[in-house]
Amino acid sequence: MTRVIVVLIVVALLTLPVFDAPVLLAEQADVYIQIGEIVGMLEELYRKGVDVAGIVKDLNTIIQLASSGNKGEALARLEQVKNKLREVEYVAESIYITKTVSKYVLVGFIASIPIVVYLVLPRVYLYLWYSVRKRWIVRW
Amino acid sequence: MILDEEVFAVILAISIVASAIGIAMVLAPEIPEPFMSLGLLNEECKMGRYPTTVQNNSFVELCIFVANYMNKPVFYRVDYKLSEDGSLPTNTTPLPVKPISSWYGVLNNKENTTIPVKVFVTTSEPRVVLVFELWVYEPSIRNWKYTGIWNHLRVNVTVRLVP
Repeated sequence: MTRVIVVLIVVALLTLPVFDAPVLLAEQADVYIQIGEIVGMLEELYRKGVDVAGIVKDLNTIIQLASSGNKGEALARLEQVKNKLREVEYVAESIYITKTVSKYVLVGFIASIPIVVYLVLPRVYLYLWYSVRKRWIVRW
Repeated sequence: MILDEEVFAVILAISIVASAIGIAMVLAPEIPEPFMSLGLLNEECKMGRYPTTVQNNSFVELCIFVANYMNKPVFYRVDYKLSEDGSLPTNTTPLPVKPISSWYGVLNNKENTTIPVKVFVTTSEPRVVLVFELWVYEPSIRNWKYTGIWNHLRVNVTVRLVP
């Protein structure tokens, strides 16, 4: 009997820090874990050039709902955000390809400027030079 | 000679340099050195005129500013802790006490937010440090990671006189 009491006291002392810990409701933690996973997906979408501002705003609304104790509404909105993400993921690849192609087309255009200057500038300069002097009358 | 060769060479050199700079600007990352920032503001959400004395077992009104320039959206958490022995976190180690309050949020890249907060001060010490630490959620490890960024405010604690 004494041994049982001692064991119980030791267990109580060992678990005291757990009970002293700040309480994060299980529901809130569940919501935050799901938000963390969604943010991981947002990182990938942002990297591909997708505008995620609307989803970020929705997530902040969900966080406010969760912290005020409105778990049901928060989880419902989380599902809506996940559905929106699935739709966005379908077009993310095409957006990424479009942005990459346009970026490298722009790079090619800028890289061609010195070549164009080398080929075109003398011709344009000569054309203007002759145009200005075309109506000159040379008197001996 | 109609078009001087040296003049033509200078114009060509300028166009090459301008083209190289243009390509570098197009290909460079949005933010070359990603960072986040955490700021502590007074009750009017402005810098300066921070409270120096607080009553024990009462709330202190402050504001927290968080900015994200990490080239990606982040899920952040600001932890409020009370340091009764004056110890502070470092840029690698958070304060080894449990947070009293936490505030969560998601920020897009190049976005910031200011959060009015009320922090509770209860202590047996006459002088304490209010510590605010910035944590971010790392999807790769599925856990929170301390960023090494924190703010603190040293205050004197007075005891409320009961009439």
